[in-house]
Amino acid sequence: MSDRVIIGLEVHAQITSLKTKLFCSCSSDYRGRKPNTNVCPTCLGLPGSLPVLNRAALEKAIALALALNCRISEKLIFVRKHYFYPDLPKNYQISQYDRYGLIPFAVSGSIAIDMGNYSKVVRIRRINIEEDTGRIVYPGGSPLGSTYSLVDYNRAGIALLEIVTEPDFSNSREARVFLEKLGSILEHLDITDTSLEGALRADANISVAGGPRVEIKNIGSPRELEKALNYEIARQLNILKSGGTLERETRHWIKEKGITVPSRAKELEGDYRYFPDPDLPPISIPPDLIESIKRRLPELPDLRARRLAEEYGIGSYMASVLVLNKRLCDHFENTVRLCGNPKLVSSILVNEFLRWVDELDLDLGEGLRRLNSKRLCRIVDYLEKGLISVKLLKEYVRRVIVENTDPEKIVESGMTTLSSAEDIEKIVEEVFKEYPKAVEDARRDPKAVNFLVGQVMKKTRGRADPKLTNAIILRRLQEHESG
Amino acid sequence: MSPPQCTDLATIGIKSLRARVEEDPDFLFKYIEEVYKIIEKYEGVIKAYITLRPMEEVVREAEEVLKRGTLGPLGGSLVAVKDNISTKGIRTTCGSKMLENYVPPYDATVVERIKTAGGIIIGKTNMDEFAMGSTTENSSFFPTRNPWDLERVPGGSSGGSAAAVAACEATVALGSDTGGSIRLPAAYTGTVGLKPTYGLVSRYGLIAYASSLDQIGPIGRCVDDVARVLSVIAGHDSRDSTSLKVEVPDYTQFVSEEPLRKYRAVVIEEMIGEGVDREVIKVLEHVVDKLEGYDIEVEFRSIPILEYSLPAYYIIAMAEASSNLARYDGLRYGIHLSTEGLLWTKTYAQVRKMGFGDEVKRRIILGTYVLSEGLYEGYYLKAAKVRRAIYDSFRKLFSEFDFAVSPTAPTPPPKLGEVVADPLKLYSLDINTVPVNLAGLPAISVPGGFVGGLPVGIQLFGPPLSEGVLINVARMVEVIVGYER
Amino acid sequence: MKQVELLKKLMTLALVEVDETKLGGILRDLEKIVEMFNKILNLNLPNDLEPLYTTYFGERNVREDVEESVEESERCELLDRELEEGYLKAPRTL
Repeated sequence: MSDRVIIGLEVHAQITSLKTKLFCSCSSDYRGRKPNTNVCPTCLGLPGSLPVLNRAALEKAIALALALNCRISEKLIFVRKHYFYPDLPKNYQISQYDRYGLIPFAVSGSIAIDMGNYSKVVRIRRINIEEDTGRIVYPGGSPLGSTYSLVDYNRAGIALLEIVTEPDFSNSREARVFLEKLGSILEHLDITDTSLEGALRADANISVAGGPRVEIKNIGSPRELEKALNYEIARQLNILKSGGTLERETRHWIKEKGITVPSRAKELEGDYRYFPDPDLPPISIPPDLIESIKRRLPELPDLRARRLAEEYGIGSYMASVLVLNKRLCDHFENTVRLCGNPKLVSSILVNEFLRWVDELDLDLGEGLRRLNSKRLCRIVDYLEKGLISVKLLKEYVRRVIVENTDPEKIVESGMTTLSSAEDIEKIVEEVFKEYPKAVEDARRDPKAVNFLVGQVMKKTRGRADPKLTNAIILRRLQEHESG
Repeated sequence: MSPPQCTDLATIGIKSLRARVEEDPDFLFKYIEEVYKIIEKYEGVIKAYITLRPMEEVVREAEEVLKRGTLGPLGGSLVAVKDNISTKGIRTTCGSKMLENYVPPYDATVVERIKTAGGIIIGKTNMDEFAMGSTTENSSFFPTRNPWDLERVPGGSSGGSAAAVAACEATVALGSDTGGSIRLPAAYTGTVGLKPTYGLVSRYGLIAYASSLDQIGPIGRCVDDVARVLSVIAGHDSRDSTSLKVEVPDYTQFVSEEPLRKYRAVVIEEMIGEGVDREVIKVLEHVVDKLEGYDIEVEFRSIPILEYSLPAYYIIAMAEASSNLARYDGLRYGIHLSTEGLLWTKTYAQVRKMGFGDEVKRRIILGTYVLSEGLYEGYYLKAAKVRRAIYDSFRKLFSEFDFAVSPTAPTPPPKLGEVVADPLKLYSLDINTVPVNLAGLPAISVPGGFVGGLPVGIQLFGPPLSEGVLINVARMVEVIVGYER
Repeated sequence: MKQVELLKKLMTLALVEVDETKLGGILRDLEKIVEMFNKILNLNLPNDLEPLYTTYFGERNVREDVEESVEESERCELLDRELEEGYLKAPRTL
């Protein structure tokens, strides 16, 4: 039995750059408002209300389809998908469908992902334009602990793009990188501000070792996606190892607990009875509209990565990681504009910054605010002047991010590389006195010099410039010999 | 040609009313008083209204209309509005227990336009629940009676609107027509009812039954009134994606006793076939004979696909209805159950059991059936293809002819209880009206005569946006049958 | 028997219920209507005949992305229900 993992994603991206909802003139900026105040007859599904498509939503969808190399349908045919749920005001959702001669908005696209040691082309099955639901909160904290639920329709009717991939991922890391890249493409196209809570959500279909397909819903970010998939893969392998069988089911990712749980009753998974929405006659998508949007497409992550590698001379993998996040990438270019040194800046951002943001579970935007261009340039400057070593630089980056503090403050605390020969001289002298035997050894065996250097580092808590320290020790050893 | 409830004063049409009010503003109050006198006397039996506005309120609104600089094209007319058309602040039940206490927070586009044009809403009229029926007996509240014969139905589903107009309990009315719901009651009550081209009148605020078939239209005692109301309510509305962007003419220019140009007319054999009453056909023959006297050529044609229009229509209408009515779950509006602890599916099922009547349930179940996995292609998709075939046939037909003429209904109005118990009998009343909705065409029903003292309607229909022609010919039919005003 | 099960399945799907005592009558009516529907099953139509879902023949109606200013108080009145801190009370969900 192989442990082969097959993963497919269904991503929902809100078009947060719109001013209004998909089918009515309510604000698309629903966050932080009093419940049920960002509503109108149409998004509440009041009797007699009707939907009218937001032109800008269609244009954004076309831009995404072009960016993902999709084939765009000649017509946009809206259908109704029926199921009863309190967050769905009409008890049907307006979307698209691909059977009975009905068509998705766009099909057959792709996104290439760079995994460092290999790359992969993930196929996009389709893109649809649809409406978001309202939000349910539970007075008892969870569905099971509540005798009723509470609904807020402020989000109902927000424009969503649904992006469905083929089952092309073989591990959680690929899925994460894909979602990051998709998010970055959406950012570059000014479609989605992925930093907003719930703006980019994913459902994952996963099958382990040839087992049945399990759907995981409610995943809110690329990082969560990786975690949820890792959890689910381990859970399924455990069941299989202990001789159990898996069933086809839908599970919910509970972020707070880091687990997946069986989800909504079967009552919801019935027959959706799709049919063309008679309130929305098919909308033709003229080729000249597509052409004009194509002409106005901004620089997208793949091209940008190529440009970064060329323009700044950074490695192509480094560039591909930077463009996985538009704001990170913008930050890189802004910083380099300020203080040059692209190789060092990119390396700090990719190798240090991203690690700490991940480890601390920090919002990327907040991380960027903490390690802003000014602070980052200051640190680079310290290194160039020899005030700090590469080793200390890493510590500086960590502290700036964790403590949200200025590099100047860290310098003031005295954490600098000891670069004055005089200072190091004194400490070397101390070490030579304390370890006469080691000094003897070092004379005979050059390898034993490292021990002495290590002792100097220990005494200075790593602040001594290693090169300088090494040189001083070697000189002294020679002096001893001749003296 | 008015039923016994009407008085000379109350029978007045928009044109004369407006002229008289212009001369003497107080005439409007005399007129309102007269209408309310009739209502007081007969409404208890006829029961055209679900919600009637108190006279004081209507008088106050009349005062405001008079205070405006101009009377507006409707000049203080009392407009009865079918109870599936949203009226801000006035209860709108759709003839259903489900919405018994629902008060819309907004006006339908047509209601806005009526008000702006100087019309005054007098009340909300009875109808088959969610417009599902052809007799108004499927109202959740009470049946409406035909003013010509109180033992008979006024037709449906806009039966309240038609009865109110016929009995002079309003000047004109708005109805809605999905498969004949304006024309059938117009035919049964001796009034004129027009179903516009799909998309000519905004559906914004019309509580949907079958969205691809529904149209709002006017009902009046004469063609002129219908033309005037249509001129007010027609025209593009940016809130309805199915609203046509077309120039709307002043339809009264078509109200002419002479043909405005040379017309060619057609009688479709399937519309006078089996099931159509002999006496009704005689009425049609009389009208057709007279039309030929106006130098209108009338030919006969057969459109065999029409044999399938009834099943195609009911499959499509029920499918759309099952979807449109999904939103009635008692959560946001309509009847409300306190159901703490119960699952939403249980609560919804209970609300819908209480709120919907049997016919509505039947149609929701069947609509769900024809859309369900495995059956969709056989029923819904096939019906949509039949619809295309019918649409194409009419297109071809109307490249040759200017309009078609048929009986509106196969029989004079049935008695209460006569057809309602048998769904197939009920559905067959729509045999001549549903093809028009499937093809999105305009149609008008105009009184063509009487059979046994009961009104019989003649249906005229034509290609898209031929309302002008239909109004012209309908006016000629009025003259033919001796309508004087 | 099978028919009753189908009817119950449809009623669950559509969330409409009828009294058990009425089931028989409803079923009889439904069967009659379905028989009428079945008339189109065997109708032969040209293979290339496209289905017609709407007779709307006008140009496309879309909306500009412009917010409509509506008083917040007016929006609050859209839900004619008792609210709990602004939230609409709904039944228990899973």
